[in-house]
Amino acid sequence: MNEQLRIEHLSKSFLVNNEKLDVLDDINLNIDKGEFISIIGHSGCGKSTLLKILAGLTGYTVGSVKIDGKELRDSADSAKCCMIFQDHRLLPWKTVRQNIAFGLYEDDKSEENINSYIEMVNLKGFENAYPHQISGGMAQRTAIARALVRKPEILLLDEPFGALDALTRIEMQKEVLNIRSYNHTTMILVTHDIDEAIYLSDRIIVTSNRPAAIKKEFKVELSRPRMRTDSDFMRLKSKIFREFFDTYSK
Amino acid sequence: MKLIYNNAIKFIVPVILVVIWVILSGSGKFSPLVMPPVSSIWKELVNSITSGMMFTDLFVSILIVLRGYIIGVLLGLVFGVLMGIFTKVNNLFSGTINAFRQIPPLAWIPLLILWVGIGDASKVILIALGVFYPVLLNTISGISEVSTSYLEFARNYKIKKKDILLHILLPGAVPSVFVGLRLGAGQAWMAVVAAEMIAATAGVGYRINAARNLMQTGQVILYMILIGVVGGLMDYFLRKIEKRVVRWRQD
Ligand SMILES: Nc1ncnc2c1ncn2[C@@H]1O[C@H](COP(=O)(O)OP(=O)(O)OP(=O)(O)O)[C@@H](O)[C@H]1O
Ligand SMILES: [Mg+2]
Repeated sequence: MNEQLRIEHLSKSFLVNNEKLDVLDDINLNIDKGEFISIIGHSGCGKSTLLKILAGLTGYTVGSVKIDGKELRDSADSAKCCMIFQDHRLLPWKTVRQNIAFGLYEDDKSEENINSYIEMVNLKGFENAYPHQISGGMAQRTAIARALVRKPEILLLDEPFGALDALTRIEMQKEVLNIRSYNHTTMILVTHDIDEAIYLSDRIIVTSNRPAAIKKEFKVELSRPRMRTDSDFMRLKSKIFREFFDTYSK
Repeated sequence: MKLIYNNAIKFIVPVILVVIWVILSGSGKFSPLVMPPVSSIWKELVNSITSGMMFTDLFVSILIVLRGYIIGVLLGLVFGVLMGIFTKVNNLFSGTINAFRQIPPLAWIPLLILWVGIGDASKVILIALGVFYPVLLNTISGISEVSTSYLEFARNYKIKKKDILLHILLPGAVPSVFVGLRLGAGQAWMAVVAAEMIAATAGVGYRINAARNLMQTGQVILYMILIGVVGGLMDYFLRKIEKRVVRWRQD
């Protein structure tokens, strides 16, 4: 189809106390434009490391990562992949609006442009609030708007709702789908929540324990909007669940 | 109700202190030279106000404090920002500054008098010196303690160096800078009183020393209270400014 991201033979290791710690092991992954991918894997296996490589926060030496055919490490000019962190990382001294507009070029800073993103994430009326004055879910929505306003090629979400309570989480997942109805940015989500992955994704990648390799891939072919209580939903959920259960018993 | 209670509680200790004073000075066990009655301090207050002496003294001292404070703050901020941002500048100066910092500002008095005389200049420099260190150190630590998670965000979002400085590092350092500004204000008052005790013709520190020589204990105490009040007011205003500047802070 419309391939956007191609990861080939990507491996990564860190030196920890002079010992090599393999974190990523021969990752091969192609992602189409507009796709929603979730990555599920055990804690500490290397999921964040993979996202950090895509975000340009960690280098890589083995393998290649290409966005629209261009090697990532050679294209340091623009923020192609914007990361949404678990802690929203909004600047506390800037209002919602200022946070969203921060660092943009003058042209993109126009009132209407910022307003349209504020509306997209349902934050109208809170433009002038400071981060400590809004809820965790609203802060995370601001962070999403701050990323989308840059029109990134790919949005990276590293357990973005992990710090939120269960109800807010579900609200946020709906919100993400709502945003996707306006804006078809490719999204890669790291999560521990199988429900969340099935609810949102087109494809779910299950990684092995460290070093992370791609262990299994599930295409989610359920029609949208998805119901968590549908039998197909549940069936897929137990299938993915068993994937983990097997790993544990080994 | 709670507000009234919180404000009332602040006055308990001062009231007790005054009561003890009244009892002790009225007991007749101490000479008025050691412990003058409260009424004599009141008399001194009225006298110093009607003669205008108090205003002259305050004016002279405040003017010197302000000059020294502004110079010290500006130097502290400039060096603090440069040393906080550039490791090289920090390495260049930190050793020397740390060594000089061990010298109490008051120890500079003899040398300052030799170099620039006993005029205002020596006092202004002394105050600037006392203000410089706390402002410098708190600016440096404020900048270096800005959370690295913001810097990681900035790296990923390709924020320009200039914007990282102006919109992340500097605003993040502001609360710490205000700690330095307030500590510096305290230092400034200490330094001016000490400097005026040695060489001056007016000012609060000079007056305390003159009153001591004339054995006017009441006036000594009056001026001590005055210094405390002015210092407290300065801190109060700095805190008001801080509240306005760091509105974004929780509570
Ligand atoms: N900069 C680094 N230097 C050394 N080791 C690192 C570094 N970053 C990550 N690691 C190690 O790499 C491994 C994978 O870390 P990573 O953060 O990618 O895991 P994760 O899958 O995101 O885990 P979690 O689900 O708990 O967030 C961990 O063992 C971690 O200690
Ligand atoms: Mg992680």
